Order: sequence, then C-alpha cells, then structure tokens
Amino acid sequence: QEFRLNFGHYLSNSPFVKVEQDFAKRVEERTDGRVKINIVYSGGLGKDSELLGLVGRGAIDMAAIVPGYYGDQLVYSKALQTPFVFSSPAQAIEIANYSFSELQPFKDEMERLGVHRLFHQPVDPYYLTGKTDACKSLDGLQGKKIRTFGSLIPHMMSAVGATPVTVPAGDLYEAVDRGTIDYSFVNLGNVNVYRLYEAGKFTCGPAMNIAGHLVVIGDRTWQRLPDDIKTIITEESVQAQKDYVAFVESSVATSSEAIKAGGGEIIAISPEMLAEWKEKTPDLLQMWVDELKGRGEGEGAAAVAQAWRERVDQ
Amino acid sequence: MFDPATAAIIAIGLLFLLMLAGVHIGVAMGLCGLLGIYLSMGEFAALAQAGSVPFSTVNSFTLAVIPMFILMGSLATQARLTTDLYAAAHNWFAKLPGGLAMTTTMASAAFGAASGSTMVNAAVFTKMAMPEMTDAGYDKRLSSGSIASAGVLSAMIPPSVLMVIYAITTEQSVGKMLIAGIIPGLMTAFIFLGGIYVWAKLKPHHAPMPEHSVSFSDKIGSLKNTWGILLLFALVIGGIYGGWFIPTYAGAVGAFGAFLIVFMKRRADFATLRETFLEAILSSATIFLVVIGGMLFARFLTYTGLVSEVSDWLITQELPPFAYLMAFAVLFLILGCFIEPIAIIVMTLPVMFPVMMNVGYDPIWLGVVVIKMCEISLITPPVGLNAFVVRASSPVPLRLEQVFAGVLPFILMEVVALALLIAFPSLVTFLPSLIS
Amino acid sequence: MNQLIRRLAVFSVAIGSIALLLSMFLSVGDVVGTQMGQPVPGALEFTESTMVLVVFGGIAWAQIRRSHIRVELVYLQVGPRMRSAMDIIASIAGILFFGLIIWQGAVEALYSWQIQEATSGLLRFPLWPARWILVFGSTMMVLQLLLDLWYDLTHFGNPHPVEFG
Ligand code: NA
Ligand code: NA
Repeated sequence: QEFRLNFGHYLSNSPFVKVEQDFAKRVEERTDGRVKINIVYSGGLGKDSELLGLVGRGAIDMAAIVPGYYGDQLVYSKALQTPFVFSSPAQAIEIANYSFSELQPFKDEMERLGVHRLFHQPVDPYYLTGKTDACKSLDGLQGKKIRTFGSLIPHMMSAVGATPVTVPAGDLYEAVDRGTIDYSFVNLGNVNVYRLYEAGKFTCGPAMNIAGHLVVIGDRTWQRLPDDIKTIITEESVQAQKDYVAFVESSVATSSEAIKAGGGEIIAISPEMLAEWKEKTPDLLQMWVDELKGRGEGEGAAAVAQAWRERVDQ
Repeated sequence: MFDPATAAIIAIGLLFLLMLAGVHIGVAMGLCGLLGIYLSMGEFAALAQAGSVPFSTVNSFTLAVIPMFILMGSLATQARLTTDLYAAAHNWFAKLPGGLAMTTTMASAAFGAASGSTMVNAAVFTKMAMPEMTDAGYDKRLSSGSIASAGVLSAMIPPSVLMVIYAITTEQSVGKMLIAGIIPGLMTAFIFLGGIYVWAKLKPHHAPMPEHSVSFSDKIGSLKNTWGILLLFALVIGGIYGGWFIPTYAGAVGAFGAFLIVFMKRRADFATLRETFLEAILSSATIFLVVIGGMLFARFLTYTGLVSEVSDWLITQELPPFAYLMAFAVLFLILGCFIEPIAIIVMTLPVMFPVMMNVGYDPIWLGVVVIKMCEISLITPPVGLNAFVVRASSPVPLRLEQVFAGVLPFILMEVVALALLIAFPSLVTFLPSLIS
Repeated sequence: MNQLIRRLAVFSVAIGSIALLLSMFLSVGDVVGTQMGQPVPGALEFTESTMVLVVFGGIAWAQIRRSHIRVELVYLQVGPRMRSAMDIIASIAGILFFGLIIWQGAVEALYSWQIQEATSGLLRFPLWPARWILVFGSTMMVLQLLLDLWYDLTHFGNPHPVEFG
C-alpha cells in the first residue's frame, strides 16, 4: 500500500454511509491495494465544524463537509442547502453537479479552500416529527416549537407562525419525548435512526429537499497522487454520485416502512400545501443573494440564482 | 515518518514519563498526542490539529453545563444549604453508633443533589465535620475516611460533571445518564451507613456516643431548613423529566436556582460571590485542560488506527460479555489508582465503549458502572483526589496515611455496590426507562 | 512582571465571571422564553463563546493558584532538589504545549478574523473574538509558566510547598 488516505467523517458508521464505503472499497480494489481509504466515523479525526479546516490544511486527506457549518467559507456551496429551491434530492444533486462543473464561483471556492470536490450526498427529504398530527396543515404549525438549524430554516418556520428552537442533535429524542419542542425537523432517515417516531408518533413531510454534504479530497493529497490513481478516483466518484441518488430514493422507502413498522404514522404534505408554505416564506434564494452582496459577491450570486431558477423551471 | 506502532510506543512511553514527572495531565496528553501525530502523520497534521482541537473542544454548548454544575454547588454552599443539611442529618443520626460519620454521609449525599463536583463536597464537609468528630473523640481514620468517601457520592447523585463527560464522550443522552444515577447513588449512601454501623459496633472506641439527645419534634423541625436542596433537585431533575428544558440547560437553571436561594436567604455579599465564581472558573479551567489534552491524544490514537484495531481485536476474541466487563473494570481500577478519572474516561472509552456495546451492554448502565469506578478511583491510594482534598482542607491535624487507612473499608463497600449494580442492572435502568 | 500577569489573570477571570453570570441569565431566559414562544436569540452561541473565556481566561489563574491536575505519586516521595527538577520539567512541557497552541491558535484566529467568521444560526454571532481570547489566555499561561520556570531555576532545591484542593 502506497497511499493511506484518512477520510474524516462526521457521521457514525451506519447504513447511511454505505455508498461512501462502497466507493472506498472500489478505489482500493481498482488500484490493487495501492490506495487504502481509512474512513474514521463520528468525528474521530475532527468534529463537523473542524473538518474543512483540517482537510484544507492537509491534516486529513478526505472529508465529508456540510456546507451549512461553514457559512463564511463555503459562501456559494451553502446555497445548495436552501429550502424551497429544489423539488427532489435528485434535482438538488443535478444542480450541484452542474454548479461545480460549469459555474466559476463554485470552482473558485474549492480552490480557495484547498480542496477538490469528488461527489455530493443527496440527503433524503426533511420531515416534521411530533406527538400530534397538527403538522398536517400549515395552520396547525401556528405557535408550535420546532427545532431548526442554520440561518434559513428559521425563516421557513416563522413564516407559518411557528417558533424556531435550537436543540443539539443529541438532545433531540428527549426534546420531542418530553415536549420541550413540538416538532423535530430532520431527514426521514434520521427520523428512523434516532427512533424519533417513538417519541412522537406523527411524521409529516416531505417539507424540504436540499443537497447534503460534499465529499472532498485535499489539494495537497490530490496533487501527490499519480495520474492513474486520480483517474480511478474520478471515475469512481462519478459512479458513487449515481449510486447515491438511487440509494437515497430507495432509502426513503425503507425508512418509511421501518417507521410504520415501529408504530409511527407518516402524513404526506401535499404539493399544494408545500406551494402555499413557499408562498408565505420570504424568497430564501434571494436572501442568499442579498447576503452575498454584503460580501462583495452580489453579481456572482445573482448569476448563480438566475441560472438555478432557469434550470429548475425546465 | 514512523509507522503507527512505533509512533504509539514513543508517544505512550513519553506520556508515562511526563505524567510520573508531575507534568499537568492535560499538558502531558496534549503534548504527547501532538508529538505522536507529528511522528506518524507529519507536521501539517500536527499543527492543524493543535490549532483546531483546543477551540472546538471548548467552544461547545453541551460542555457548558460543567461550569454551571460547579457554580450551582458553590452557590449552594454560599447559601449555607450545607450547614442546614448537616444540622438536620445530625438531629436524625447522631444517636446511632457512628452517628456523626453517618451524619456526614447523609448530608453529603443530599448535597450531592445540588453539587456536580466531588471535591466541593469533600472540602465543605471536611471543614464542618472534621472538628466536630475530633471533639467527640472519633478515630481520625473513621472521620476522615467517611468524609472522603461521602464526597464521591456526588459523582453518582445528579448533577454530576463526570456523568456529563461520560455522556458526551460516548454520545449518550445527558438527561438519561443523570437520572440513572439517582438509585445507585442512594444505594451506595445506605451501604456506607451500614458499613459505619458495623465499624462502630466492632470498634466502639473509634466512635464514642455523644451525650445529648434530640426530641422528635426537633428532628422534624430541622427538616424544614432543607427545602433549598429539595427545591434545587426538583428544579433540575423535574425540569429535565418534565420537558421544561433540554438537559444541556439543566446546569444554567440549577445555578440560577442556587443564585436565587443565596439572595432569598440573604447570604449574598459581593466578596463571597466573587470567590464563588472564581472557584467555578478555576475548576472548569483545570477540567477542560484535561479534556483538551485527552482529545488531542485520542486524535493521535485514531490516526494510528490503533483504537479501532485494539477494539476490533478484542471483539474478535469472542469472549463472554462478562469477561470483557471484568477486563475493563480491572484496567479502569488500576489506572484509577494513579490517574484522575476524567483523564481515564477520555483515554479508555474510545477503545472500550464500542467493545462493550458490541457484546450487548446497555450504554446508560455502563455509564453508571464507569461512574462507580470513577468514585473508587477518587479514594484509592496512592493518587486519590478526594483523600487529598480532605487532608488539605482539614482544620485539625491529619496525616494522608490516616485518610487512606480510613477509606479502605469504604473502598470495599464501593466494590460491593459495584457488584450489586452488575448483578442487578435494573437498579440503574429502571428510572431512565420511565423517561421513554 | 509577576504583578502584571497576576492582574491580567484576575482581570480575565473577572470578565469570565461576568460572562458566566450573563450566560446563566440568558440560558434561563431562553428556557422561559421558549415556553412562551419567544426564545432568546443567541443564548446558545453566547454560552459557547463564554466557555472559551471561562477556560482560557481561567487557565493562567489556575496555574498561579497551582490547581492544575498532576500525578503526585513520585513528587510526594522525593526530596526538594528532585521536586525542583520535576517542576522545571513541568514548566518546560507547559511552555512547549501552550506555545504550540498560541502559534496555531493565532493562525486560526487571523483567518477567522479575515473571513469575519460567525455562527450560522439566525443570529450571526461573531466567532473570531473567542478565537483571540484563546490566544490571549494561552499567552498569559506561557508568561506565567516562564515566571514559574525562573522561580524554579533561582530557587533550585527550595520548591513551592505542596497544596491540594
Ligand atoms: Na452530584
Ligand atoms: Na486513585
């Protein structure tokens, strides 16, 4: 083995990261063991808020990066996590791939941070989970305490009269169970993994489709790899990206079944209700453009938003 | 660059040397961790981790509960809740064999419900009970031993700094962990009472009976001064249980409650209040230095892959679960003779926790077992922090050997308590199971 | 020098105390406010930054008060000259460790300041001041350790008395 690549992951070792594990396995096989990808889970090499700095500085070779944690570094990439922009995980990934291959600001951003993007995680849709079925209508959410994170999701909740509350992920189950919050807001897979359906019977959604984390490799590491290995990694990244979208689509079904089998009830939010919700919420993509104006990136951001809107409408 | 095994041998060897040389534990772990990363991964990794870990460890909402729990205990002391508790326990227990030692045990257990730190308990009750027991003709081994041991009860009875550290290290619910400690903590207190009774019966000259007697109405009357502690306990545990706040806020709410009591009892003066905050910051700084160093060392071990290799190797041995538990306990207790418990938690759990989960132990139950072993390590010689605290804060002349001789019977009682927790896991899991 | 470090350490602990008190009030306010549908914005972020102030503001004061945790197994058994030697090793190790933290902490703090790093919540709470506090606290710690080293060297064989608690 010539290259041992330390891959820092913030998630724990679970079926969620299967596509990434398969990716690592295939790279190892196709390089005849010259490359070994050592995935370290649960923030063992760095917490979610540290990974970008560590991979950029060459402390680790690869990392899974959640753009939302780096609002001042990944100013463009974080827009891929804006609510009410994408209609499905697959669409979010399609736009992500387009952005990183065609739009200059995204390429510049990766270069500035010293990383090379391999592929994106399509995260399954987000659902509200709580003890009552009030989440089935927008009126029902009025006055409810809902767990949010980041800078945009709070707007989406206050738009329907709910109170956005910050709760650390580890406290989520108890917060729903003890009624500290009325609803959690996580992706369907996590409703299942955290067994939130035990704390709150009713799960309403899908309410949000966004792109998940990016898998990146540090420039220092990337440059030191021989061309044949780079080619293999690039090809397998493309494959992993395809696999990931298919995986997430099937995992929605698996999670739904597991939740129902565990006694939970899933209530579908209709496209009409979602459209009404979007209508009530300020234009979040425009808010992002305005924010980037303040950073002197107004033109770039406006162009990105324009390109996205056109692509989404197609 | 060195291969991981060589780097690990160098870093671990140097760690032991530096620790024996009396270097601060956190500094020794941090320095050796960075050296290990440098040797095995190169300078980029070592420098970036040195820049990243200290900030990310400290800039944490979940760990913010620790200074609050310490503050809560210090404020409760300032409100002299300890004095009231001691007086009440005195009325109830003083006429029993070994009654003054029992008084300390019960008062310290009750104060454990307001204090997150075992050292605060030991220091407070040494100042209060040591002179009284000495005047009453108690053997210093019994008096100092019972105070040092009663202090550790605070690690099990919520709130508890050690429990928060366990919960965070192993990604468990802080709230469940805290609630799980209530029954085991009370059980240990009662085992201590029994042990003191036997001691006083076997060696009556170690614990002469006092002359005075207390009427029943005085006994009842003294209980009403203990409302402060009950209020704090109800606030913190009831608040988590009733869903008024997330466990991470329990520290702030508890400290705020203690702060109010200080004012209601008109015991707020600026100088003491300043001293109280100072102590909380001092303790937090010393605890977090250990946590930062432990985190850097853990990162190094993770880089080498040794943590997962050792865990995997242990798992593939396919021993019966109990054998794993025993091995873990023996390792922990041996380390506990020499090292402070927070350091042991952050050093051993990354390896042992996955192994223990793999063989099917309950994470909350394991947490209580770990806290029990921390309690023991706080009083075992040669390095027993609570024994040191008692010796250092004793107003009457006291030698360290006397304290260690005095805690020996209590160590045996703690082992009995540990065995009970292992034999009857429902002692631990019953209360948390009511939450979900 | 001794007095200056001492004053700075006391000052930073005093600021830490006030921040801890504020954080306590804000947290309780957030608990009560959340129940009434009006959480306190930034309570969580303020608490996190307060932790940096409490820990790194308190670390030098803990050194002055000799309250950092060490293994005293050997220390208590040996004579005064050996104790002095061990104190010197402890000071040098501390200077090395905190020296590294200052160096890399400053690199991170500078970057954080350049990008005006802030938390990503509804409220943009700036993170760079806390990063500089870390550097400042570690610098005080190194200065105090240098003073201790000087004391150990000039009072060789006559170390500080041992204290606990
Ligand atoms: Na306690
Ligand atoms: Na010990």
